[in-house]
Amino acid sequence: MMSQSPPTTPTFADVNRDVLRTLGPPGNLYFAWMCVVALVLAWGILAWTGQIWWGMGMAGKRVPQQWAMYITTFVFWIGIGHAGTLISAILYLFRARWRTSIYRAAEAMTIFAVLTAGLFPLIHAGRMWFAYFLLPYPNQRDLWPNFRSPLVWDVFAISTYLTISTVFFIVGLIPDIAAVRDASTGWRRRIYAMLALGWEGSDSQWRHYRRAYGLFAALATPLVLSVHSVVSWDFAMALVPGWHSTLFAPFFVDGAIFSGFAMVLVLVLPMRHFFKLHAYIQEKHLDAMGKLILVTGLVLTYFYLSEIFTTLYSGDEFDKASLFWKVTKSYAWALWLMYFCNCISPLILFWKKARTSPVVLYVVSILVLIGMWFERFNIIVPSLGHAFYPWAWGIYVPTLTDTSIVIGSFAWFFLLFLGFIKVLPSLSIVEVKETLPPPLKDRPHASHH
Amino acid sequence: MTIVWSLIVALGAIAFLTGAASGEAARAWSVYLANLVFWSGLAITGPAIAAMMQLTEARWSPSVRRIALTTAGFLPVSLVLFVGLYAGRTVLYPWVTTPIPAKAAWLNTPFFWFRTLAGAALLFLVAFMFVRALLKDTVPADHERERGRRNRLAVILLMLWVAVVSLWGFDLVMSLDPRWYSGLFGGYFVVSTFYTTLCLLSILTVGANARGQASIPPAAVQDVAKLQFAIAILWMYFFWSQYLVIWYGNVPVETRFLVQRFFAQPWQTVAWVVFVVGWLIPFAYLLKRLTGRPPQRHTPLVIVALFGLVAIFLERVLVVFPSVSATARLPLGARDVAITAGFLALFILSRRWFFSRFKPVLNLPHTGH
Repeated sequence: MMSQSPPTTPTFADVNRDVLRTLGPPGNLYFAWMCVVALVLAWGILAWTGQIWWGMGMAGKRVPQQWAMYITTFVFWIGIGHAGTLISAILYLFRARWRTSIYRAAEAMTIFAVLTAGLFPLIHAGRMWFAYFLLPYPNQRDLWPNFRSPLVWDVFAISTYLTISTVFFIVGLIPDIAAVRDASTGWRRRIYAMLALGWEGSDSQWRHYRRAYGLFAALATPLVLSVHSVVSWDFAMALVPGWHSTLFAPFFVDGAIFSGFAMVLVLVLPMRHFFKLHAYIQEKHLDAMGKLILVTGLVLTYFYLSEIFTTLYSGDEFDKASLFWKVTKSYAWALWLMYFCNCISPLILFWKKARTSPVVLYVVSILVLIGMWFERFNIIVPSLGHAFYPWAWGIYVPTLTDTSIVIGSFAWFFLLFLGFIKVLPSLSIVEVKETLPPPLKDRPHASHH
Repeated sequence: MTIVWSLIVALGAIAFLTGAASGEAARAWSVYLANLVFWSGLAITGPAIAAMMQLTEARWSPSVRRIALTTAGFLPVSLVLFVGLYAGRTVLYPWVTTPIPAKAAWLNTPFFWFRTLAGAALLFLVAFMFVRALLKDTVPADHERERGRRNRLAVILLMLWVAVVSLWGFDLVMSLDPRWYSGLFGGYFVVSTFYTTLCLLSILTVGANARGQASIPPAAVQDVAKLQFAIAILWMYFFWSQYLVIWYGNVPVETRFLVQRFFAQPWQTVAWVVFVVGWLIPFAYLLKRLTGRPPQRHTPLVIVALFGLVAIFLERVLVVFPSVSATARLPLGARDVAITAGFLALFILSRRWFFSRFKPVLNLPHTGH
């Protein structure tokens, strides 16, 4: 599927041509994918409509399993949204130049993932027309009597993250949109001209652009830690066995980065193949991504081991019983699947051949995504199903409604991403050029943009 | 100077031995333990940082990587001191004399000392193999086989480093109060040790330049400072992740540890000093250093790095002392200071031994970013 031609060093003109080509009229394959995604999304929306009409029982919500799939998927999508900011901001500050070929797609992925995640509190709340209660506006109506609730912190953390990530994304796009504007005609040109905010590429504009970009990178960096830490505290602050753990914040952040990188590869590898971007997304980029997945996977394994160790070390009977139940009873298959996907499967990336093979990377990434979804499932469902009191124990069985909505959320995410790659440059023209040798005078390939 | 440092070592040893034999044995052993984990952490994390630079192909300063290796000189001494800690087991660890049945599978004397000593020995052995591999000047940088070997050693070293230093946190420190537990304590121990070593690396880097042993450009010193800044934030993040969850949960078995240290004197003052001196001041200064041109003078950097070192040492005291004795006083007596000075002198002497034994060339060509 994903064979590649040997990459040659592209020129500045090649970069413009190849990136702008990705915005050309879509082919049949693209439309076919769009149709599939739209149909699945429509099915998900239908299921959601049914849930609103007939009530939350349609989603299998019964005590003690009130969180189940929706909060699992909410945490999953928030986690996916981490890698974009990490690649854009932290790797930028670390001067990791290999990020240039993938960061645009990763940033877009971040925003779409957070937008997808944002649907789930609404879906989960049932009466989403009261969703404005969640918005951070002055508290005269005493809608938030408890500012100590981590669920309120979530609203602040995630809305801040979405705002900064979106602004960062838009700022980074400006010079590239100007390039698209210059190559467009008609109504497209007018729209891109509006989005380019009058960019002309003057020295002054570049100076301000660079300064703003560095500033946003610095602002976005702490958010990588804060968002998923706050999400983790939704669980860790409670005393439910299996939740109340000091490990949770860094454990969630690492897992989020791990799954985010996997999703970046799931998106970037087909893009590389179908848009023939082998000259820009080279083996060294795949190698670097593979290494990051391996390292974050090892750190995650360390946290899993620390969690098991602490449970056994603590001597707490409830914690031990919860762990024993997870490992051996109703949801044991989900736990062992998670260990396989998150701890064992990335180990193949110790081999460079595996790290530079798109097929292996793709398979590992899919496994990691499955594993990370199940990680959240294993935190939420078995823990709630086997807490302190036997009379409150209960099994959760997915229903057609909540399964359809969760699958629909994937369709929504891919629909946004498929739309993005045809509307905006999915590769940064500016930053890719910065990694290339500068064009010399009188060379035929020199481009002036 | 060697004689002076040797005398300080001897003085420290006498102070410790007399203390351990006196009625204040718990205090002497507490100082010993706090020093042991502090200096051993510095010694092993130097090579670990070099291993990270090896694996990330960091080309920004080969000299800094060499300097990081030089802390390994203390490792053989550290191993001997770990063996010596065995003699203080009954004084330090209450579960030795009063076993806790629910935890006996983990907290029992043979297994505890086996994993402590074997872990340290294995880690130090791999660290020395890595150090030797990196100090081979004759091997060209692009020699694939040698590069592969170095990478493999770096991977093993880093995995062992995380595992063993975490165990120092869980076993040597957390089990001083065997009823208290925090799942992140091992990771916190790794990160705080990492921060301390970056502080030391800043000082050694500036010092190597000042003594003419190396000519590290200001931009590379700036990069060390930036790393120090990043890991300072990570350290505070790991601390806060534990503190907030324990405070919020308000479970007595967990909060007791925090109440002793953050709400009772004299430890409350120490905790504030650690926070302000070890984090707030370095954060404020290093934040300023993130932007603009790298300065030519590095005195403020050395000062905040010293602050970081002192603060983490005090933090080690803070986590060790109240667990060993609820009525413990601050270790500011002459004996306590002498023991700590002895460890410092040992560290300096062993680093000198490393220089004379391995003769590392620090002034490597700087290849840029």
